[in-house]
Amino acid sequence: MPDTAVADGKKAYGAAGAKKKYRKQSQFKEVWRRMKKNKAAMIGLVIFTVLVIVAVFADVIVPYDYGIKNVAAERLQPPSAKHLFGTDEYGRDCFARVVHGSRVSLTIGLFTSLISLAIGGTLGAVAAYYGGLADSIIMRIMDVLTCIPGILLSLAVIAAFGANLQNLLIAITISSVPGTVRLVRATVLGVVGQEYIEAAKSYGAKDARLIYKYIIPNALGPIIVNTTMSVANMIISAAALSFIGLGIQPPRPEWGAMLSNARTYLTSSSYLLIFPGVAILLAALSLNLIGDGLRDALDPKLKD
Amino acid sequence: MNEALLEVKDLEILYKTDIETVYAVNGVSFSLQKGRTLGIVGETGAGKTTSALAILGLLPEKTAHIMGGQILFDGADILARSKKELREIRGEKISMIFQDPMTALNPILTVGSQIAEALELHNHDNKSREEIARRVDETLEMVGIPAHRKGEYPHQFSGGMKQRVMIAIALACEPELLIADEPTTALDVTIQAQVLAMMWELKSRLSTSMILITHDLGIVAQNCDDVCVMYAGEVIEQGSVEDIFNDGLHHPYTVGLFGSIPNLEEESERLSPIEGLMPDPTDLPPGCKFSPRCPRCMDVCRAQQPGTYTNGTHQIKCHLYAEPDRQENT
Repeated sequence: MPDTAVADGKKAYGAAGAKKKYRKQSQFKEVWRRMKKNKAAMIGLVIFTVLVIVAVFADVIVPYDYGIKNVAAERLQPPSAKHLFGTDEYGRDCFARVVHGSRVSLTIGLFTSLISLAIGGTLGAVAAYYGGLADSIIMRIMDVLTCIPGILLSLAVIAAFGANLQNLLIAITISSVPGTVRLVRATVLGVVGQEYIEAAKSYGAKDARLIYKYIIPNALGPIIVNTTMSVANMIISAAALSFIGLGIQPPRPEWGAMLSNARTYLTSSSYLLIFPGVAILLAALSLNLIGDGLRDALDPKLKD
Repeated sequence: MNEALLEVKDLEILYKTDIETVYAVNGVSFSLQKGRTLGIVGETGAGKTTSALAILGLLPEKTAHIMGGQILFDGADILARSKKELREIRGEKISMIFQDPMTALNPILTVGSQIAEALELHNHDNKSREEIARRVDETLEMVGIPAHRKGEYPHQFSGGMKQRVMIAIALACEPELLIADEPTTALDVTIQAQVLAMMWELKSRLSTSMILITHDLGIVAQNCDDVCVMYAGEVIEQGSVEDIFNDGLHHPYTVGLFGSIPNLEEESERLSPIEGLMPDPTDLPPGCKFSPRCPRCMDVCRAQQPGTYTNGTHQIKCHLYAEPDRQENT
């Protein structure tokens, strides 16, 4: 009953309009204001936005065909005005491949990180908050998953269900969940022991409120940093699977796979390695900068 | 006499882990009348906080076991309540002020929203956001903090201010019972006095009953109507403030406590502390719990638990005062 009462109160407030500045509405602005002061985070945000724009408007920038059409006459050409990033061993335009590869790579990186965070975060928080049997069951399953090397686990999933983008995402997510569960559990355990949790209980807070308003926000720092870092790892994992032929199927371009292929021409045509490498680096770096900035912006203690 | 708001009867709590069993509270009984203040004094580890947490139903579920007894609040047994019912009581009917204001506030929520939280949780009469915000302002002003500071975070407040915020949270819903667990231990002396004076004033204004847990006898003398002296999980002496501070007869432990505080009128070179340490709560002595440290220990003390000697409102649990015909083998 008190719940509906609160909800009604909120509605009434919404109807009355935002006469008074209330904390909940200003929180996002507040975080954004602090984030704007952080130069590194803003640089990260700009780079990442550019990457996303490139991914979204890939077809406008350069036609997909350039990236998959084999042109025997133009094999392994160094960067030039015609081929900005040069061509690979099949005469495909590397610029087109990097641009179109961003679609696949960014999808893999972001999607798997977020799913892994959602699943791992929930399991880790449940394990830490409820403890006891729930903790034991979840953590033992995670132990079993950790026993199998990540790449082998992904291989097994793909071998069983077939190689396509969807299965690739599932495979990479599964192998990264145990790490997230561990991290979230450890962080949440630290927060649950704090006295303010007990204080909140002493004035009647429910489990859901404790988890969403007290535990998660206080445990967010390390989790955000870990998630942004894991985006780069996920791209690399996908690349590894593509390399052994179980990830993205050629000729579809993908940064990791391009990196793997370029290995053969490392000494003669190093540009093949540099451009997709830089692309992965920029994606990872920008997300790390954003993650760091976000963590600082979310912590009121660092407010100046 | 007034109606009892809270009655604790023969409460027994132990903490059980794989390694050992800690007998934290062993048969504690006390009662609190409406509008009065009960002081619970005792050393660290005497079971004061455990008793308080039991009243709120906040004992750690995995290790703490309530072995017996009743806690009657407004006539109904708290121990028999469901979790949901307990949640509705907490904050609204009974609330607690914690010992350390530095860690008892959520560092990432503004103080205003933390005060609003209790109000939102117990919002039975559909107060709107504005009304809650107004109530937050009032509560803050009530504890002497300007309302415009409600948008600030706990780390922007000093220790004494944080304790005021804690008090504001605890009093936001105007509870019937306020449990203050060593509310001034973490504060320096001048702030202690301020905070206590403010608590006293608010308590009388809102006619809240209060349990004040402390180990400072001075605070007890100034603020409390009734006093329980706890030792090793038992109430060894209880009565009104006059009984404890003025009456002639005392438990030797209480005498020891008074001997450990400086006296302005008598001149003495040194304080006389109580020799020895609290008994190990995993291995309590069979007879009187205080017997190993008691300067007036008799043979019977080591073997038998003492009965209760009663003189009006004053109760002492000690063999010294046991009348031969009333001696019980409890």
